[in-house]
Amino acid sequence: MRGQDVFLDGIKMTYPNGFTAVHETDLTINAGEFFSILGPSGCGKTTILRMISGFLDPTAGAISIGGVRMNGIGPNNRPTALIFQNLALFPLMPVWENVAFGLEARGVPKAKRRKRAEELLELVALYGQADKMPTELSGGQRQRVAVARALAVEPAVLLLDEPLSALDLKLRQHMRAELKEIQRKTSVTFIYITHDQGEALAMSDRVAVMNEGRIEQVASADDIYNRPQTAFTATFVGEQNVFTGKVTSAVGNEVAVETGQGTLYGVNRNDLAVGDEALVMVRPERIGLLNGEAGDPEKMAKLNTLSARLQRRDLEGALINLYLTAGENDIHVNMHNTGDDAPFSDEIKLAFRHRDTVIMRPGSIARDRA
Amino acid sequence: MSVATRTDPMGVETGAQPRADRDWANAILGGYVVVFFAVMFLPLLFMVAAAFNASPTPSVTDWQGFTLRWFRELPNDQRMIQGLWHSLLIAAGVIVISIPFGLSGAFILTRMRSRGSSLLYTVLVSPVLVPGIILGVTTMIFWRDFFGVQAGLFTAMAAQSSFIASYCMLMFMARLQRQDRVLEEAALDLGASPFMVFRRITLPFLMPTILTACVIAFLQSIENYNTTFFAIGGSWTLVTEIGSRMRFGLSPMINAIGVIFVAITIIVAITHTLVTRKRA
Amino acid sequence: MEALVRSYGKGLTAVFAGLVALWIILMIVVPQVTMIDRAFTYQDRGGETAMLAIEIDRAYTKRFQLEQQVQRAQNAADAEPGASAPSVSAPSATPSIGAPAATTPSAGGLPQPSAGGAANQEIDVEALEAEIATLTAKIEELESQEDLSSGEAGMKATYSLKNFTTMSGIHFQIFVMTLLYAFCVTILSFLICYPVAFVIATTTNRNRLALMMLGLVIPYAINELLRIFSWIMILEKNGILNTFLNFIGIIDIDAGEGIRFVASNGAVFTVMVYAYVLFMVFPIYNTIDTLDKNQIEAARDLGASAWKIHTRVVIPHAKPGIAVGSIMTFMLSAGSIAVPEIVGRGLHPDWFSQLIYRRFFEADSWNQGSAYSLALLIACIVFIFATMAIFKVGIRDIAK
Repeated sequence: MRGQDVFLDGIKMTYPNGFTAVHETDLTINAGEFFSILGPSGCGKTTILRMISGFLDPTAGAISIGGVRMNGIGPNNRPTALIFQNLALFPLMPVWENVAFGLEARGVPKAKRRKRAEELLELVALYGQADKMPTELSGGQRQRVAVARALAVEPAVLLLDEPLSALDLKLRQHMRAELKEIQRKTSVTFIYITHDQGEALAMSDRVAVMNEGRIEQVASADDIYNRPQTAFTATFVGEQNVFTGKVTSAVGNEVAVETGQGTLYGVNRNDLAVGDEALVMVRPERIGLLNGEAGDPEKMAKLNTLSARLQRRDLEGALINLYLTAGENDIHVNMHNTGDDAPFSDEIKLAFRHRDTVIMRPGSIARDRA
Repeated sequence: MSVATRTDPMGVETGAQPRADRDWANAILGGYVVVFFAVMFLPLLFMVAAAFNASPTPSVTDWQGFTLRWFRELPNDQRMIQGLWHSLLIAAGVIVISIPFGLSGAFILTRMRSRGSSLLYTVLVSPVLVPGIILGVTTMIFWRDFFGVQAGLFTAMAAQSSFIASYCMLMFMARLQRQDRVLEEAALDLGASPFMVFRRITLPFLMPTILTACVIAFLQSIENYNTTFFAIGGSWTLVTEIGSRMRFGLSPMINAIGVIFVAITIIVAITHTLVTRKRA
Repeated sequence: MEALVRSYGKGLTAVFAGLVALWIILMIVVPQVTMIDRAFTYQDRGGETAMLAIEIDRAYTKRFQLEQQVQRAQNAADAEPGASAPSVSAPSATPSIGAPAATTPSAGGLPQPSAGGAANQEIDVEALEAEIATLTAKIEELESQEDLSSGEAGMKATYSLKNFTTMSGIHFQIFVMTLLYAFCVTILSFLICYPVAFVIATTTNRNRLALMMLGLVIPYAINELLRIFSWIMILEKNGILNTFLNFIGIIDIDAGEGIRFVASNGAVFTVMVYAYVLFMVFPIYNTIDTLDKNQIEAARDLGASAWKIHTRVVIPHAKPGIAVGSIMTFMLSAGSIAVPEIVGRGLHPDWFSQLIYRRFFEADSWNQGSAYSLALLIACIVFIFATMAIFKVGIRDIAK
């Protein structure tokens, strides 16, 4: 098996009822890459997947796989295989016939099909289960049958539509590692659809974040989390404390924003200029308590500070969550339990580094985080 | 048979309907149901009993001794045997016609999204909602006017098929609506042609319903009277023959046929009940 | 259509569409249109043709009676030990109704006690068969004449409403009464069924439920004719009901006081309710069964009376079932031919379906028969739409 690249050239999908599920989109997915599309439900990610697999024809634009234009080619004639959210194992066929179904469709003789099915079942650690019916298997085993079935047709691109969502947490984490391992062994291009940021960040070489039919950002997992380019990406992946204000100075990469909590400094992500409306964001785990640094002007120069009133303190063991208010802002601080039993006082001084503070243009903010 | 006496789950007397009143109501309701079933079954019981009475007019009040004579006479009745043969012939034809028609209708209706589907649905189920005699009449007229086919076994079969196909279609639609459409997509995605999807996924899924539909179509055809009576012209089936004999007077042979029908029905019904209960 | 091709491919879609088209054209729409066309086509029969038709009818009736006699004689002969004459079947062109049973009440296919000797009977039979042969020849001749006159200028076909407007007053009255009766059967069936359906649907005991379902399914599956037949034994002059009345002393059968229940309107009505009541039970049961029974408990808990529980909770939920049951019961009753034929014995006032039959097979007036059929069809359609409107259900809810 050899992975192939996938190239979406200005594809667009508008349903007959006038709803545009995917706006004009360009995207290149490299051969042999583990690529995730992450977004809330209804963002258009499944539509993209169905266009790549051939169940939907884009209303505009072109899809190429391995340099071959795919428009007008049915799902049964594309070098893709899809793993469905509910797996879609054929309930009336034993496991091996499920796995060999794609070979049957290609006219491979029965003995050969059976042999290949057993090889694939071995690959997914299901040897000896060939003659069972799918209903006799556990959730994780069914998952692996679905993977084996998809791999049997030797696809260049494997499309996975939230295949782990039906599993319980522990199995899900186990299957993440297994999928990643299978991808490495087969070097097939994986396109993975999910609304679970943990899955996307943990497995993927690159992640595309989607919202309302548009791709917000395509980057490595680290860049998505640490260097988000849009308000949506910043708020959808991980949590953010958000302040609003106006840019008062912009020097190089650093901007100052006048907010309800005073002037906050941060990294300019969207080339904002003086006078622009801006969002100031900082993640809960990047906020600390202001103590030692207070007397050190050099350190203080790199910190934003604000005082807040403690509302609630939840101890989670290794982590402590603090819920505070500062003026009109709710602030969430997530800190390690260092054993120092702090803090309890009503008024707390908080501090966070300029470089951990993200300043960007106002945009849609994710309501439900991934 | 009586109705289960419901106890108030809270153990609290509710204002509007004190417990004693409700018990009374339940007792009356239970008694009513018993009477209902008695009325349903007593006539059939009389009919069965009379089949074993030696009296030449079917009767249970005038008992002239136990006999199996009326059963023994059945195989010698050429017209009845011929009628049975006609019935089976028609039923076979009805199955051959209704199942493909019903399947096609169900496939199209479950996939069609346009507004026309409502109209198509109405047209295809209309035979179920129209009096049987009208189906018989229209079939008879149509085949004679257009093709010069005289009323007979063929028109009877065509008339029956028109509504039995609708019944089959409704059964298939009910089944198809429970089908996981993703399975067909999965098969397509794995490279199957639409025909292979149909053969390997859709048909096996429908198979139990197709078998049931065959049985139902067979029974509906065999038992049909109204439509057949109008469409069959000079020929006859077992049931129309029974009907014409009934008009001219009563014969215990009819009772004997009745006993056979009743016995088959009861056996099938009880077997079905036991099988489904075991599965559940 | 696109979705279909996507699902089944071009070939299969074409097959499905073709089969459905055949079904619609050959079995549903064109036959109906043919009937409607005939209903509005008035054939002006010359007096001569009409006379011919009547004469043919008479000849058929006479021949049928003769054949009955032959058969009876042979049955009697069969009963004689050693006699082995093959039983003659009655090759009547159409199963003619009414006339024999009505005019000769004694003419049942019953073996008569053999009065004369076997030899005597055989002569009888030969004479009868000769007469039948003559009649058959006569019928053929008359029919060829009729074909000639009808094929030529004998009839003039024009589109008009005459087939409807020439419906006699009595026929129209029968039409109205049939619908009225069918309506009453429907109402009565509902009243009878509703408590039964409710009890079965709310039964929690699994065994009792299975038993009651069997109690419904078995009579439902037994042939309509047999269920009707079983009632004749009860309602007959020497039947069970009269014997019972005799036993408790209300009447004296031996004194000839037996009441002839059969062939009365009441008998037809009763048997019709019996025959079609189950078509009402099942749909209502099915809908009540889907009602969350906690709703009943909740309503009761809130102090609702039994009346309120049924009118506000159960019946609104069961609406689609009631609609389906009503439509089926009405349609079956209004279009019933078996019950009036068998129970009515041609003696009680006609049912509209019998008129239709006679238009077609006795008066040989297909066009007027079509008009009558169309009238019945329209009545049923009106009833269906009225029911759908009253119960506010759609066609998709109805045919389930």
